[in-house]
Amino acid sequence: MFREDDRANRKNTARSYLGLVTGYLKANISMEMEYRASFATRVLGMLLNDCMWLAFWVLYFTRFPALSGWERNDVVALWAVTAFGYGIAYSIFGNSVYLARIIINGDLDFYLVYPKDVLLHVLCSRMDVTALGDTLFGPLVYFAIVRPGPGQGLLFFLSGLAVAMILLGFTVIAHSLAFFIGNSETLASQLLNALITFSTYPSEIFQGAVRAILFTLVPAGFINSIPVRVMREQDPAFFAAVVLAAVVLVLGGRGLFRLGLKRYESGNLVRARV
Amino acid sequence: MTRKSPYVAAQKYVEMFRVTLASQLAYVYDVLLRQIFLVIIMFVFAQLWRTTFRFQSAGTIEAFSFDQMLWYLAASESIVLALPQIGRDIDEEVKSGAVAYSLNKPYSYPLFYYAKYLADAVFRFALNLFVAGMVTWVLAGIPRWTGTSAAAAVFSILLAFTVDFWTQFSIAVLAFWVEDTWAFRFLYSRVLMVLGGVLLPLDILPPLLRRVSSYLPVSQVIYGPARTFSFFETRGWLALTGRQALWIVALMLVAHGLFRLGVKRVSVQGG
Repeated sequence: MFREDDRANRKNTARSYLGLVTGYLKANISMEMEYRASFATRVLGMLLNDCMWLAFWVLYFTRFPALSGWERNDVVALWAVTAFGYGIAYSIFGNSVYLARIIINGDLDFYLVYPKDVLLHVLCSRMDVTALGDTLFGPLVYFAIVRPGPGQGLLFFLSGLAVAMILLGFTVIAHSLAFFIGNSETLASQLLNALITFSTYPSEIFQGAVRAILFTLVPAGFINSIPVRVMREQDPAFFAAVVLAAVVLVLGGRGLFRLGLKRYESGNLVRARV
Repeated sequence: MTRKSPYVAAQKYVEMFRVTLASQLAYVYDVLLRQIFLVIIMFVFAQLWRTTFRFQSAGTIEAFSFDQMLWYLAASESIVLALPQIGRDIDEEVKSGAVAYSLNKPYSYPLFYYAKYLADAVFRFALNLFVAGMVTWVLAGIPRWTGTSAAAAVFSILLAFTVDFWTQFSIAVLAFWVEDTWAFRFLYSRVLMVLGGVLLPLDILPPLLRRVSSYLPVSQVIYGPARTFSFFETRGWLALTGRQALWIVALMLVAHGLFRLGVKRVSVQGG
């Protein structure tokens, strides 16, 4: 009986958190939609940005048709899955890239007085509207250029979710360093830049010690190997490793944030939040 | 009525240049931390082009050897990452109405921003080239630059900054008419990236695209100066300088025209 109550409670909690995330997402979108022209230009601007990067790779592969076993479609898949994952992570949890600043400024006070999970509440309370452009770009480009079968299509979406988890977990870890070393905003953004930069280049160009780093400290190796190992070769062991890395990073981020929260000192800041 | 000498008139802009430079030096730790990205991107480029050269089994690609390619990219990245986003500040000033205060001051609004821009750009470029140069030196060896090629390239870079400034200024003053110039500024930065030669030297592009981009101002900002470091020859450099000068004159006229029209739309309320 206790076990059944426990299960029901957990189900209610999950539903309540899902409600929190979707509620914030709706509120954030309607807030952004107040300035429709600006909203549209930002989303389309990011779509265009990704297209420009793709143009670089198309030009590259027009001149050099193969690169260490990688072909044009592999790089298209890489950009598509990374952009889709990035879009999911930061359009829903857009506050993650401001986490260090929130910690340093003592702005966590606002979230601490609510009964919801502090980290989840902070992360979803702001959206990055430009990331919606990335969310659109991924599937659009993947299905228009690569033209995958149903199995590959499903793998694309699942991999995209794993990429989102890897990026989000890493962002939370990098920004939570602010609890321990003070103002780490620039450091966190540089670490995230490094992850994204390494993630968007073919895995095969990195060898030796760098490759080891890309599967540990800066886990871009799990992302930039997806087009070949998961989508083309459909290697189940590697896909399991990507999912495992995603789960470890999300749990690691959550653990580090909770550990840091014990050291957090309120700024006693009185501020109106509108 | 006494007329001020050009030297006295230029003093305030020189002062603006000096103050901006001093404020950059005050946050040197933050500036250095931001160089991590440059180190990473140069490392990634080295891996990409090393693999490409190995796969092509070629000593040179469109006249670029591996080290020349990497030094070209070190220069192109140093330039592009040095370009201050002055358009954003001007856009903000116009939208917030703060431009009305600046218009009142005894200086030329565009030249005031130009002095500020140049100080920012020169400081960042010097630092970027130092950092990118160190990484490239380790990964590809010493550059094949001569004193003449480096001096010519530095001169081209100063003109490149001027081309970029007037382009950004022309775009930013559109804020007098449109709600947000972000989309135009963003588009410019992306065209600069692909057709300007930031990621690839234009020599690698298909012939038609290469020809189109060689006429655009974006290639005078990045490709021309970055290539001059490694491949200096007097005739090509003079042609580049001529194209840069033409673009500067054309963009200045556009920027001033737009600015004059825009200023007429400013209405100042007392209070």
